[in-house]
Amino acid sequence: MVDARGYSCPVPLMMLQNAIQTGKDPHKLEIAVDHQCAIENITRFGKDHGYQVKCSDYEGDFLLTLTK
Amino acid sequence: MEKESFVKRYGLLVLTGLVVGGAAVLLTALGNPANMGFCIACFLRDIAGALNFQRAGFDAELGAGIVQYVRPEIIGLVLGSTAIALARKEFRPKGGSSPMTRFIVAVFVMIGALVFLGCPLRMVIRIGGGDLNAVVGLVGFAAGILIGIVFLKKGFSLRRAYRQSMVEGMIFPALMAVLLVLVLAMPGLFQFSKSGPGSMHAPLLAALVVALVVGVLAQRSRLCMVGGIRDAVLFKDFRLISAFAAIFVAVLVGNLCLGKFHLGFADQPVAHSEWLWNLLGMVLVGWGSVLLGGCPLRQLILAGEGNTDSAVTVTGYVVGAAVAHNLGLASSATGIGTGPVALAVAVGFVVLAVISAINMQKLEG
Repeated sequence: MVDARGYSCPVPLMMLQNAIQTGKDPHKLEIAVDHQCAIENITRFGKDHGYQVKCSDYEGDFLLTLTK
Repeated sequence: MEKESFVKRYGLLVLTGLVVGGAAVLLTALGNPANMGFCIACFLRDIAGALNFQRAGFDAELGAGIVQYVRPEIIGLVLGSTAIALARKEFRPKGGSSPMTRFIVAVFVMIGALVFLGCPLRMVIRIGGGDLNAVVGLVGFAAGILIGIVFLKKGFSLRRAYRQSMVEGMIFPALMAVLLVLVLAMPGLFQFSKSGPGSMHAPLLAALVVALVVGVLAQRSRLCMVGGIRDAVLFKDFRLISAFAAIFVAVLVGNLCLGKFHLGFADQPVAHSEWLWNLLGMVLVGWGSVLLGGCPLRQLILAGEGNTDSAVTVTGYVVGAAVAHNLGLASSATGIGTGPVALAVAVGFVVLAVISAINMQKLEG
């Protein structure tokens, strides 16, 4: 899981891009974020790149799961 | 895979851009200085003046400077953001992401903005009024953003912020509310310009209401002038830049309708034509704002949502404004300041370069 909580824009999305390129499994990614703006950006980016995006609660913040 | 519709993708941002542009034209028609319907840098500077942190252009006979006024637009933007964030449960107090680094960067962003004479928002508003000096500023702004992007790609970040208490997050919005109450109940506490740009303003209530609406829309749409160019370059995402374009179109159409569009470099309102300084001032603004994660407007909105790093950033802008005027770094309609402008801008670049370089780390993921 990528923990992007607390980072200002656009770092969370850059961390996700980085994970897609270098992570073990580019078909399933998890990223934790803590603000609405990051949720929207990552959800939109994920959908644009063919992922299904699911948002769930994570220690009072949010966990986005991207799969394809 | 369903494709997001054009309206859903761009609708709110374009709407926000059109409202901001329309609001800028309206506020100028109601009394704000020309091409300054909205300017976060100028308005924070005026508030610094109202608190007597600076009294640029002090006239002994009138007993006041020329840029001193409690701009209700700033208060309205912050409180509009706070209200909608609380209503939608998006008010999340947090901070601790290198606050003092942000403070320093903010000081230099403000100095850059006052060398140019406007924040990124006013830059677009000036372009919409036909001020070609602001096009020079836009070139510098874009260049500054590109420099910032280079560091972002190398792993720059001001590290993470952490959750804070509700009280901590509410302090900045509460300060804005207190400022509003004081200006209404005890106006004698403040300094108000009797001449110059600070003396020109829309009626308080009108400015406040317009800014509240803009604050709500800006919070909902995440409008950001720096984000526009940054996201277009980094992610090929043109959503934020569409708002940038919408502001320009709304201001242009408004000015054309009112006969206020004057194309050219010379004799533009509250602007100067020293192209090198217009350019370099906005390079500082663009670069610094990428490091901060958003333009001055966005920082106000984030501070309204409980982000105390942004509240510190706004405080840095206010201090930067006082420094810029007290040291003669701020420009005026007659040209650049009489102080060590070149030195200050050079120091600004060195400071941003050092901060950019020492905050690079390998991103996890």
